[in-house]
Amino acid sequence: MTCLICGTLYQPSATWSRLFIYELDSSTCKRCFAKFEISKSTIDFTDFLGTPYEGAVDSVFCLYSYNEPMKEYLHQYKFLQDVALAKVFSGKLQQAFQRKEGIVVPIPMHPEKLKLRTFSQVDKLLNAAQVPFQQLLTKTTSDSQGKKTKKERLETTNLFEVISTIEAANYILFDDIYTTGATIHHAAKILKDAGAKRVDAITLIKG
Amino acid sequence: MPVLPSEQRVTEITWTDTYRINGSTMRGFAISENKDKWYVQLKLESEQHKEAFQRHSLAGLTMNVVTEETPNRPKAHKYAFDMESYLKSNGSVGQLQISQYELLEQKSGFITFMAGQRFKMKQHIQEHFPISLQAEAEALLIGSREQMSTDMQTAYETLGITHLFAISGLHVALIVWLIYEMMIRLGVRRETANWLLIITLPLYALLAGGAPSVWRSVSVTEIVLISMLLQRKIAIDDAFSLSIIGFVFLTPWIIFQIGFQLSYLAAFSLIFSSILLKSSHYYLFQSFIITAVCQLIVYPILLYHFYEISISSFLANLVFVPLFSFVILPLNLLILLLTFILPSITEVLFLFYEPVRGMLDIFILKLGTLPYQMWNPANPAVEIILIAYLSVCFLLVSLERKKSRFISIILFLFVIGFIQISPYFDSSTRISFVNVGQGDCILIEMPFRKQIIMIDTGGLLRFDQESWKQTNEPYEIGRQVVLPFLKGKGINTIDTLIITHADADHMEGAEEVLRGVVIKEIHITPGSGEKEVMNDLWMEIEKRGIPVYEKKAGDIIVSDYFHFQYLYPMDEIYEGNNDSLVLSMRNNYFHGLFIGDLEEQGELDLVEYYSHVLHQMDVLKVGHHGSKTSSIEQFLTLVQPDVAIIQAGFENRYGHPHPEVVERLRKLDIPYLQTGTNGTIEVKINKSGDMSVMIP
Repeated sequence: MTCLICGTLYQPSATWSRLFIYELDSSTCKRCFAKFEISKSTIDFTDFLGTPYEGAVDSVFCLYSYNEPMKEYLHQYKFLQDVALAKVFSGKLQQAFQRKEGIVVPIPMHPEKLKLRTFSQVDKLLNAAQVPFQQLLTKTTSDSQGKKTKKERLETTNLFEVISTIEAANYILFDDIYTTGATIHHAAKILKDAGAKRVDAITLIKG
Repeated sequence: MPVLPSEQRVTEITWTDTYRINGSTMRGFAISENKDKWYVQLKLESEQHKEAFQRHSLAGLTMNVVTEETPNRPKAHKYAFDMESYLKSNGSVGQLQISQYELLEQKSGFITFMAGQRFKMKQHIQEHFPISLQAEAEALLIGSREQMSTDMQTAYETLGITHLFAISGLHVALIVWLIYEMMIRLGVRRETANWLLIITLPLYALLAGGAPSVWRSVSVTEIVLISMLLQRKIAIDDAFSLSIIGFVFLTPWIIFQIGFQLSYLAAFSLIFSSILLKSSHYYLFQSFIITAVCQLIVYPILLYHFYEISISSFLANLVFVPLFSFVILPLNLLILLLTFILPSITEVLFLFYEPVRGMLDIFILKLGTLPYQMWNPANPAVEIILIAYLSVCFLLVSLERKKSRFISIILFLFVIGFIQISPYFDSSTRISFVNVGQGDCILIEMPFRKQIIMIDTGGLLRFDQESWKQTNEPYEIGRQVVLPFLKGKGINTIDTLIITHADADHMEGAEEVLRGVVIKEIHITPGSGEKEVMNDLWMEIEKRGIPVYEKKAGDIIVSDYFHFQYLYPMDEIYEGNNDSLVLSMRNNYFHGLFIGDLEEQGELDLVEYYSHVLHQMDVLKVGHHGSKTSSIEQFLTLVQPDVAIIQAGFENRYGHPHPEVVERLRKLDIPYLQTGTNGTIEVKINKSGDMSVMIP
């Protein structure tokens, strides 16, 4: 098989899991995949203490740290629009979601932004991982969080709106990257205000 | 009953390279004119013929033969060697018995040529290696284990290291590496070197005897090499699968061969355990994982075929695998090479190597005698084997994923525990009349396996033969029939062994039984211990310190379920058959009588002294194999058993059971069974006392 990242031919190693259990294939060679670093940093919500967002998110789990290979990957995937790369983390994401109970809600993109990028990178990651999800939120503004300071981010209000009824159930938010936590907290607060019992979050990367 | 001359016909056969000359017979596979593969047993006419046949390879030799149909004798018991499955696993259509033959010609061909080369190699080894090193050299270099002594083989089996003598991946890897490095040093281009390897490997496989393990490693290597030349390197698991598909496509019967099953399973387990093997960087731990994974994957199938597995192999392999792969095998290759180019140096080398290797042999034999090395549960049913495989796969997956490890280990141990204790749940009593040919052997298993009693062990009356007719390893009833029966049932301990009297057909096999299982005590008939035929057995008894008691009429064996009492002999002077120990086994539901070789006088005594107890019996072990000097009418009329068991061999030379005895039984409406013709007979008495008689 050809590695999606480096383009060399490789052979996936024979393992008992691959033999007996259906596992999603990452389509990358061992060397490339080994370069991604499992995130070990713990996420604390101290920044949100005393703000209206305190307690909005119950837990956050990030899979990988934002190292150089990951930066390259995200660049290739998101900005150079290499949608095939959505497969790379399918297996690991699937496992991460299997460990949590709840309705998966991806962080949405503004329709204008979607037009520009041609695909929603968050949804595609979930699709590749075969994780069912519901689009319960919509984005109200098209500005990107990336260009703002942390203070500005927190002060922005109503980034999202609920577009469907929210039950008193568990919800799992999903985003590609967790940097300051503002996006996740905004979305979580909207869900909680609408009646969600518990809101956890999973992101691929811890920025 | 006289044997009718069976149909005779003349046919032409061509021998394959799979044959063996032992004593006065030549056995092996030959191809008939219509391309069928037969298993042929040929009686050699004379010593001259034997010598001539041993001088060169007989592969491709054609002869005109007069064939006789082989009688369809039942196999000893369900755990014994099964000729039919042996034939099936070799793609053979049947057996031919040959007494007359006429040599035609030796056909030539590539395979025949290679068989000839292998034969020459064997002769070369026999000429240049000292005798003590020949067996090992033949096994490691040309894949022939014929010369290996039974003692050594047993020790290797106990330690679980027999696989070291099967030419397989290890050897092939070493050979490939040697050839490849040599060629590269000589300045051969890599691609050319690859091509040369592709051509030489199958030749090596033929020289090495072409066992499944050889072809597995050679074919997998070939597939990978070819795929590399085609610039499309194939994954090892795919190469492995292609190798199996090819093998089974060409020789479908191979899937029944134990060697094929074990070789492919072990290799398969290693290929798929890459993650487990990488879990440690320590050499010792890694080799432990290799052994453990291989043992895990083959344990159910080993239990299925051999009823036992070596526990010490986990430790033994840690030492012996590196010793054989890095020292002994390379040394043998080096010596072989030197015997061709510098024979004088090998002499010096042997001067040092032979005594050292001899000491290693002694050490291995010593290790092999240590107790508690083998796990020998009862032969598990096929369903249990499947469940065992499920638990093993679950265990491997969970160890690899580091998930639900606790559950999978518990499940795995549960299956093992179940296999171990399942015979102890059986609430019925079983009496097995083992088919030991012409001779007696009876095994009594109490409910829940609380007590095991064996009456006689069978055995052979050996006749002196001309020296050329003697076989390398004698056929031994104890080792080849009785022990497999005990192993198949998972019996490691016999509480009481009764030797009814000192005749070879009742006790010659006892010596081998003593070596295989623990015996707590032995009962003999008074005075029989002094007989010469008992000498070998005494040595074995003394070595093990087993208590021996003389028993006579009135003595009992303590048991929770039955009243066991000896009814005979009444005196203490041993006079042969009529002093056989007679055992009565009785409770409220059942009464059995085992009378050894008792003849007329003894039976009359029984009638005289025990007429009040010996009537309406359930089972009678007929005296003296059904000879006409036993089973007198008076006695049979008294005991009137529901079933009579005759322990006489298939078409035995004495004509037992005698027609007169058969007639007496018929007249009295006593149904009878004969072990030689019916096979091993099992009488089962269930919890509520109902008796059933089972024949295979």
